[in-house]
Amino acid sequence: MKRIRFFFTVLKIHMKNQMQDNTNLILDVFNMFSRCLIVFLLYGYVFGLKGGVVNGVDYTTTMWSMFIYFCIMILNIRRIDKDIMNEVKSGNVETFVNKPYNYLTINFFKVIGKGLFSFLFISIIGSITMILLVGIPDVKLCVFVPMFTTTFLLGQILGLLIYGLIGVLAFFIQNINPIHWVVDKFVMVLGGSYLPISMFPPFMKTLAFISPFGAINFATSTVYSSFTSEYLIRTALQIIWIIVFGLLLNIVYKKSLEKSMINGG
Amino acid sequence: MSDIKLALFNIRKNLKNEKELKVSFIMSVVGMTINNMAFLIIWYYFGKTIGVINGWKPLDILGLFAFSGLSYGIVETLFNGIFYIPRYISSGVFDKFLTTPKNILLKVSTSQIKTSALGDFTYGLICFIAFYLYKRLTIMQLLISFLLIIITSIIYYSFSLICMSISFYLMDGENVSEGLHNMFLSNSLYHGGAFTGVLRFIFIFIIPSLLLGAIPVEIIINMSMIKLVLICLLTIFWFVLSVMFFYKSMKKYESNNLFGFGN
Repeated sequence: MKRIRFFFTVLKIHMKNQMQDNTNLILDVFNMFSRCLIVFLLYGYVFGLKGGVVNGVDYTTTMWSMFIYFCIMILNIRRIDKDIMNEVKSGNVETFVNKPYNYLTINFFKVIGKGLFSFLFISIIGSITMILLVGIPDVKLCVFVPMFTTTFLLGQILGLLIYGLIGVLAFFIQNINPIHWVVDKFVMVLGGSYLPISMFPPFMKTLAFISPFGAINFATSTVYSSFTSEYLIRTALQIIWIIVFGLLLNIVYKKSLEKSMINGG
Repeated sequence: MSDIKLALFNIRKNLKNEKELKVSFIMSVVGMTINNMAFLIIWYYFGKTIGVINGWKPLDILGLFAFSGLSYGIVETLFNGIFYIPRYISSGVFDKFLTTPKNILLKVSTSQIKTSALGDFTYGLICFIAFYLYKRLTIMQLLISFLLIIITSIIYYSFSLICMSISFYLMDGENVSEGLHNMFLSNSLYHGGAFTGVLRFIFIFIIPSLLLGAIPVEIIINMSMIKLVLICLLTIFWFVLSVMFFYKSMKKYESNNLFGFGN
């Protein structure tokens, strides 16, 4: 209990730190606004050309799906691997791994704390703006809210594990950036960033469904009507991937510690 | 002349340094090339689903990524130092550039190299060859393409320099500069047919994202001389403005007392 309270204190400190620095929030808002504006105008034009429906999905649903993706990006849990890499490169990691808490868990909470304020602020303000400008997607709130919450949380846990694993690889290879770029682009493409999921060709839909990179952003699919029937299987897939990557991270992290002992930090 | 010699020496030295870490060097270049393919996949399937949009066919995006990839690759490889300006300012490293008798901007620009940008350059080159084969470009189109690669590189350099020079006015300007630069760059990677009306005006004249890829593609496909003249004039404007802005902003710099030998 005491340990959990400690982790949440770390999260709170980092969140408060972000709240003090208004420039980050202003930038996040500005970036979100510009991204959404371009994507919304582009797809507004495209849906207009196609009579309001593309591949059986309407404009409102598509825009909400993309809006959810952009909000998740604001949380920015993917920076965890670079944080770990920088600590490994600078040698500071030695100090942290010798503390009486789990180094990875503390990093998970740090990275959540860094993005949480912007994420909450933009998600709330953005949702109100979306309702006013784009409308409400055709979903039942009593079904959508629990489905969204679980897939979002599981997706973020999976994301932390995957990016954490990339970060830990910094103990073995000098530069993890190339791995980060490739994985990040898989997550970006399969999450429906620039191209909405409804416009995916069949092979990409399958890939987004079965791969762990697609599973990180299952929350973006919750606004689609087909999601209700897929909810259980998607949640099961997320849990399976969490177990797989959790075990993998645990093994690699232990090996990393052995390696850091050998090299003296 | 001696300034240019020094700049070339800096670039050679930085490249040699990076090459020492062979695995990291190769991984960066290959990783970035693969990474960039994502945008090609996204916009190709977008074009395939939607069809022709504002005169843009699905494979025209090859040209977009050719120009943006090549200009990004050239500037970020050779003149990556400008992206370190905010860090130089906050850490006080900028002092060392001020105390040398050489051209400050050229020395700052060539002070760093980014090996992964060679991956962007490779990717741009692959896209350019594919675009050349797909469009069966004439000799004239090919010559204009080479001119446009130089032009887009100057525009990318100029606007990036403006974004980074903003840091001179702020206490901790790294995030602001990076944020503005990201907005400039990310909008250049959108499908060219997406920008119409006011949006097109904004991203040509205020934030010149479209000048990095979309407008050059339209110039090549339509052989539009009016657009070619326009992009040349805008390039001169942005370049002169960026250099003036850098030197004017530099006067705001206040040396700090951080003790160190710099980067």
